[in-house]
Amino acid sequence: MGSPLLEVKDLRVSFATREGRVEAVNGLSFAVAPGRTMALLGESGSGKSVAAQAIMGVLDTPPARITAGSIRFEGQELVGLPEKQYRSLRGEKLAMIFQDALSALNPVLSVGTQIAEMFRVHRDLGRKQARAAALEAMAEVRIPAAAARFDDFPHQFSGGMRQRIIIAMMIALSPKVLIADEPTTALDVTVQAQIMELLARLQRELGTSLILISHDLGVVADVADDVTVMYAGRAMEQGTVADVYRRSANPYTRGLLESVPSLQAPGGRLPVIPGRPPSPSSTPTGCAFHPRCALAQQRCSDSAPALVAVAPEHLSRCWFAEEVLSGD
Amino acid sequence: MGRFIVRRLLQFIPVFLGTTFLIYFLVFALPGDPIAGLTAGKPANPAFEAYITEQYHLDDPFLVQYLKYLGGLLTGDLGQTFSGQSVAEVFAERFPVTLQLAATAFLIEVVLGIGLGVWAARRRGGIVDNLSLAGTLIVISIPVFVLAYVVQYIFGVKLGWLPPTGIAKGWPVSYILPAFVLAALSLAYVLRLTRQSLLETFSLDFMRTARAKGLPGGRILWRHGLRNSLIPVVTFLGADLAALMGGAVVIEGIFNIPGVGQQLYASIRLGEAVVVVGLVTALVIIYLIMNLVVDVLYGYLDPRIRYE
Repeated sequence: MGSPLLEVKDLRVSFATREGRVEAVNGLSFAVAPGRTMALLGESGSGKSVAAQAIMGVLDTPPARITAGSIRFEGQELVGLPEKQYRSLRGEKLAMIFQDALSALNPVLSVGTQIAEMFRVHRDLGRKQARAAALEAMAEVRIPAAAARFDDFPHQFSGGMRQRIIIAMMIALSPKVLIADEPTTALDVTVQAQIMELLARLQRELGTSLILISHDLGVVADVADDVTVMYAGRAMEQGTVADVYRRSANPYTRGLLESVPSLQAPGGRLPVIPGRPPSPSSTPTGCAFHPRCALAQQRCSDSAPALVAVAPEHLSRCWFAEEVLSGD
Repeated sequence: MGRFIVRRLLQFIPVFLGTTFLIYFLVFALPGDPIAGLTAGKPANPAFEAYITEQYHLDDPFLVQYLKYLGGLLTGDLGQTFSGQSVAEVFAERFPVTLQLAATAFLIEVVLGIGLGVWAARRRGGIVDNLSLAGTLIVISIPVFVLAYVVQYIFGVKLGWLPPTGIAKGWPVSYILPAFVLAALSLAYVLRLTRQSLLETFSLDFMRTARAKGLPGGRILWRHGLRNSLIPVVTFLGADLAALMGGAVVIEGIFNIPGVGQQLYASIRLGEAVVVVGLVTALVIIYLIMNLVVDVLYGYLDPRIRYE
């Protein structure tokens, strides 16, 4: 990995709830190099989206609060950055696309207006120029008959087209980092593939770094260079896709990989990870995964393992990482 | 859209007929003899009695009276009051006064209600929020005429800032106090509705998108937030503008303003059917028009609404 464009270090985000403060992200660290794709992989509630919103600076504060850690973008610290400076980065250098495009678009403004807004606000373009620029962005993401549909409203588009509109809006200013929060979860499988292809092409053309948030092992394997597997707000394993998928050193990652149906070995019951992910308000002591882990020992419930290197650029958070790694 | 409006306008016809009929019937059914009312119960001059009976068809059965009245309307004759003034003249005299009063109240309601509502929502839990919630609670819980006498006494009599009664000083000075009292209750509702609706909008996904786009706070609030929050407020305001015209009856009495309300009250007591029917029907038509305006506004505020 070259020098990182975006570096997250020991990030902690907690939420104020009726039962007190609850940690949603609990010491997350990762780095993204220019043009690379980092996937944050994990079940729902593992803190992926909260981490993404923390990077964008769009957490709802309160109740959320970044309690510790640092987020550096091009060497600049983002945690505690004054809102005005942060705002000029958003959309311009950092951009984010969302899971549910319908609710992420403003229902009462035309899609063209919402895209053109980027140019009007960040580039100070006039109405006509902004419209032309927005039409270009719409063509870039292959929205057919862009000029005719400029004044249409979000509800008049299909799910895939709506996601394209969000993408057009967010890549409009060629951001350096694009965060995609489950961009295809709400879409049909065929449309999913088109959207992922579109993202991959735009990334190649613009040289954007991509942070892909997903629970889909297949999508991550196809698109990502590096993976951070998250569980209960922590990184469980981190490394290149090849390392994590082929030489996993973590029982949680192994459990996830085994629960994917395979064409090579059809039939039989799929193994599943027993139990449920813990809620952030009742994270187990020690290793957060130990109640569900087949390898768990006394030690696992007593104290929490650190994220340690098992190979160059391959980290795992498990007392038995070495054993798991050499287990196959 | 054009067809929608035309169809709605056509619906006015049955409503117009129904309203005039109903009101005419109600006035007809009121106890008491109009002539006895005019002469304060003393025996009337027979010539006068015959004149009034003839003029207002008092000897005819109810339906005939009503049809004769409708016939008059179609030829542009709204009828005459008992004192011989034409009803059209009464309208021209009274409606502008009430319209000014209602419009001023409406303006106060919209500007202060939405303005303070936005402020309260934006600084949730702040001073403006808490003060406005307490203030609106007080206004909602005390009867309007109590509020009227209180402000009349404080601002009109004690402090002498504004005229306590009458419209001698003209618009806006004479209208500020009564308009404020007239608006007070609705103002409280508009404020709370705006605040609540805006807070709900704040929690929607597209507001986060707006932030992620790096838009300035003002643009996020007004362009993305408020427009989505205004639909319930507009519904309320539309129904309310018409209600303000009706609410003016009490306020006009307290502040001695010669508007529709006072005329209506006097005419009901006298049993002047033609005046009562005319005024009430006009109020109903205003209400219908306001409803139509609100429905058209919806389509502008929310493009997802289609007109069938």
